[in-house]
Amino acid sequence: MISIEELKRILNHNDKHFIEDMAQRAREITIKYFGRAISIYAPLYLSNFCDNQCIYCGFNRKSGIKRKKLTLEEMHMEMEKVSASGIQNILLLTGGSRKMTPVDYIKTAVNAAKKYFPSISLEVYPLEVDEYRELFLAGVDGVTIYQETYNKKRYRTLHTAGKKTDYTYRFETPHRIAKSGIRMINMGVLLGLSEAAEDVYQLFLHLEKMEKNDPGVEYTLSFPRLIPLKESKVDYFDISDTTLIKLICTARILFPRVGINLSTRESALIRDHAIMLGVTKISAASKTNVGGYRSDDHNDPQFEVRDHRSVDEIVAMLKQKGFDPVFTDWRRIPN
Amino acid sequence: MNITVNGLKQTIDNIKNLQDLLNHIFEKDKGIIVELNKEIIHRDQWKEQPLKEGDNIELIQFIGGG
Amino acid sequence: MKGETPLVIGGKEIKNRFFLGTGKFKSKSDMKQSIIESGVQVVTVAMRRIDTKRHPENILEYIPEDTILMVNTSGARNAKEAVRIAKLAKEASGINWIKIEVINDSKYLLPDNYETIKATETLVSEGFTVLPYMYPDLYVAKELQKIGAAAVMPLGSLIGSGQGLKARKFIEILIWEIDAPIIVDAGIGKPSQAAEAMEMGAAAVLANTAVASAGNPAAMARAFSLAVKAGRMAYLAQLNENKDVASASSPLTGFLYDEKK
Repeated sequence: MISIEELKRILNHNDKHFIEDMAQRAREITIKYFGRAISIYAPLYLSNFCDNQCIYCGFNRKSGIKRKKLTLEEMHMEMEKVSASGIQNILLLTGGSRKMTPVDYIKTAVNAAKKYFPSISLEVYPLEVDEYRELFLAGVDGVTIYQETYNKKRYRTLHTAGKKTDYTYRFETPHRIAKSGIRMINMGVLLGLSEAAEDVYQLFLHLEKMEKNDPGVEYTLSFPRLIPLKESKVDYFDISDTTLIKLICTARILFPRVGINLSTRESALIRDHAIMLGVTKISAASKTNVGGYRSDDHNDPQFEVRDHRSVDEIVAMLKQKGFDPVFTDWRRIPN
Repeated sequence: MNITVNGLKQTIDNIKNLQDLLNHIFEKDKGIIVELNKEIIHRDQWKEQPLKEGDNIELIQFIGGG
Repeated sequence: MKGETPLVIGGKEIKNRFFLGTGKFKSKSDMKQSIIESGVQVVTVAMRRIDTKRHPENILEYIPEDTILMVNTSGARNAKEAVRIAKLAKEASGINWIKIEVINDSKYLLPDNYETIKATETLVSEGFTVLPYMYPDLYVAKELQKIGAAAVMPLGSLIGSGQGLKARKFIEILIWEIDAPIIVDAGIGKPSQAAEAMEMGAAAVLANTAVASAGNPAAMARAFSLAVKAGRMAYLAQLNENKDVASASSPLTGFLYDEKK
């Protein structure tokens, strides 16, 4: 593990050879621990109802967007469409509203998803251990939970209402997930909310702590870059492509066995190069609005997708670059 | 009087000062470093430096080393 | 040499990256010739109680005047003793460069890293230029750097063994991770081993036994000096890839500098 000073030095050091050296090293390590496998998944937004006020997010409770949550029938239709494209690993998302999308609702979605996908992950509001356990037994393999930012002061400024204002509860979520038996945890920060080096350093520390205390879990890291909303009253930090690449390389070098995820927030150019130097998991053909895969009813996406390629196009690209596209790692065998 | 030189107790007579002592021990005193009771005494002080009962003297030199 | 950055220790620029120890020579004149013929700039000397039954000898007389002297605290078994030797040396001759060698193990002659850290801390705070000799442990090296050591001197292999770079990998780690000059000391038995250390990126190499016990010490010293120079040239040559052709030599990250499409 490096120090915060070393991480800052890395982010400030802009010698081309230094960056290329890091990338070469990251690539070597990736091939050693991951071979040429790239995991593919897709997100499916179940609901955009939200009780939180995260001022940077398109779903925040004051944003005035059209609210929607999928009915069981709509879930099936969406899932069928995604499954038909070849996706076998689905990430189910909701906004932060226990009221509108309680655990029972999520469980219903998981049960529906089981018909189409061998691997099911969730990105929902933080739950209690027994709730995660219930969902684990229902068929959930993984949970994504981002602290957003580890800067407590900034966190307070950016999250002004709702349960999400509780920094500590959110921070302790990965541990609760591990306790429930769920085997895969995806952690991350939203780059741009705070100073990058400090946030990523804290993320690394958090991951280190999780690896130490909850070792049976397969961890993944994500570095989503914030796309500021048009009417932003807060100043955000600019995160360059180079910074993103450096962070991916650094994460790969420091955590050789931890997966790195890069979603369609990023362009095809970035993603195609990022998989060469540490990224091991990517989404494909994503729709980030509720009912986006099938519906004519185009409501607002959580973020704008930048890589619009279809699953087939992504697979073709991966094969052309010598990668092994993996749609499902493992299947649950009902006992 | 009784003094210690390089860890060995010695009895000396008619030694008035440090320079005397060195003349007694050595033919030439080049390259010697003298520590008297853990303090270095510089060469130009040797004639002036008296000795007393119980003094502990270390005689050190530079040698080849790795 | 292209790409060369000067080696600066204690405010002095060191042009010859071969350092010579002055112990074990058959004669003082052998030692003197070795220094002169190899052009070494930095030599180590030690301090001992005089054997009162013999003539005192002052080795400093046999060392050319403009040579930088580094006093080795050999004989010290702990930090306190090392500090005392250093202070003696400074008081007696004004010598300010100290190679901290604290050995409390007579079987292998391995340096005691912990006592070395303590001695370094004390002597740095008293204004000495400190070059600690140590067993290549990354954490210890970081601490030594942090507390102000002018360089870090990891052993190549056991003193006098001539086994070369047994600790190669660990020295490499120090070279990568530590900013302070890494000077490989101990166990260097042949000029080729010295060259190897320099090719890895070491800042300098110190040898003693290999020269002092050679049939022709002066010639051996010269061979070492040339080997160290060759090794350094090789190291710099590896670094200097063609820096002008960006994308050809940056296949993974060249895209970051391309025109935005």
